[in-house]
Amino acid sequence: MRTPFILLSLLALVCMAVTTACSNVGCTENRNSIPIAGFYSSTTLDPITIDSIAVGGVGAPADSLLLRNKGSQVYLPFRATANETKFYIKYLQKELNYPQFYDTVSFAYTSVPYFASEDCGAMYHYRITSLTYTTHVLDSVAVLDSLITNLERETIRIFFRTAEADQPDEP
Amino acid sequence: MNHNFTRSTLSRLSLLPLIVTLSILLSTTISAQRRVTPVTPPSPGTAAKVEKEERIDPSRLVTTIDANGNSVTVDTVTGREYVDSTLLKAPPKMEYPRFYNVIAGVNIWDPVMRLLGQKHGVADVWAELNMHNRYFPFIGVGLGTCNDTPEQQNYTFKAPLAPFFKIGCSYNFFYNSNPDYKLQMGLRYGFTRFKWQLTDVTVDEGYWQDPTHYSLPLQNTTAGYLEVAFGLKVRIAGPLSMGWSIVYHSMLHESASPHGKPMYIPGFGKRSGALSANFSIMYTFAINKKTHLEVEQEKDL
Repeated sequence: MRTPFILLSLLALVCMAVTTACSNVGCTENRNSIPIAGFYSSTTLDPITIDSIAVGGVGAPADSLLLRNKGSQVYLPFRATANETKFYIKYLQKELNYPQFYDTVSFAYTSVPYFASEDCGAMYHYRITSLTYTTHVLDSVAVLDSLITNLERETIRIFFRTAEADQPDEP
Repeated sequence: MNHNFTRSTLSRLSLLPLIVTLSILLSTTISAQRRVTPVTPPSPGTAAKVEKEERIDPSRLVTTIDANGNSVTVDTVTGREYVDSTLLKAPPKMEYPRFYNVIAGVNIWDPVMRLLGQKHGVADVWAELNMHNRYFPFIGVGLGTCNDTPEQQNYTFKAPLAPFFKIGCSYNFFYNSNPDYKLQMGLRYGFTRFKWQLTDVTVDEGYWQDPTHYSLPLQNTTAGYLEVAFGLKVRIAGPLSMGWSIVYHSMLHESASPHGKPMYIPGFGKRSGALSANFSIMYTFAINKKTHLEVEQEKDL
């Protein structure tokens, strides 16, 4: 009885080693906390896609853009080394493409060190404390959840004044 | 003339019911005879057998053990086996005494895995009390630590040396077999109180090209978890044995922290895996010997 028992035990030992070593599922969320802002119509409150738009961070290296030309959502990464991050929105449509019509949105927040998991790593969570914005074309900005985590979800909504079908655009 | 007619008519009429009655009786008799079942009557002078329920005198009953180890009750007067139909079926007799031995073991799974590159765990010792070779109350204590910088990650996770405790019970499926070999399943509750921290953390979301660095100071944590273990035990030589078990574990409770949950818990292992394993070297301390079944021979009456 001893020999088959030992053989079965050795087989079990190998299976156990393989099983415990292959128990990693990987990171299923983001490796950083980056808020997602969606675009909405202030009239209908529905999600919209804006054509000819550019979004970027104020002071970003080489003026790199977060969104160019067309989109319905945009990532707005916060600066981990500061307590405030400002973003600009440029409207590239012919009648709106003037600096006086550009809007800016500024977020003030606190940063909390956070360990997500072995696979997702360490990051910051941000707690938005205040929000300011201009209203040239932008109507309003809403924060759905002030705690920004690494979950892939929309936490900010930007409402734009949109022209109705029978109304001309007003500069 | 009329007078004579009336008397004769009356006499005929009075006979009519009698004739009708006789006819009915005859027909009924004939029909009954077609249905009757012949029965053999008992011989004259003999009485019918009536079986009386025999009362059992308990003073005549003797309980013995047969060659197979079964308990048998015998009527010493008639010599027949008496079966008490009101009794419930007896559970299988356990061959080993209540306190048979104590098994002490050292779990060397973590030290072995460390040789293969694992960055956490130390070792633990445990003891089991062998009850009937069937039930094994369990208690264990161990130490755990972690210092790991996973590949392609932006941190180093550290947990200083901390103790953990486990208590539970196992069940041996081979309880009436050779105690040198066990196939068992057990439940255990584990508890630990430990600290953890993060060092050398680099956060760079990529857009601002301005990475930041930080270290998270030591965080106090308390955790409790459940283990379901399924394993084997094999005697190697003398009182020495080896045992393997695969363990499914699940967190039951842990203290909350605003900085997240630690990736390693002493005694539990890495949080990312639901399975872990044990590999123990054991020593058996005998307490009682196995009782031998005696067969009592039935006395001739």
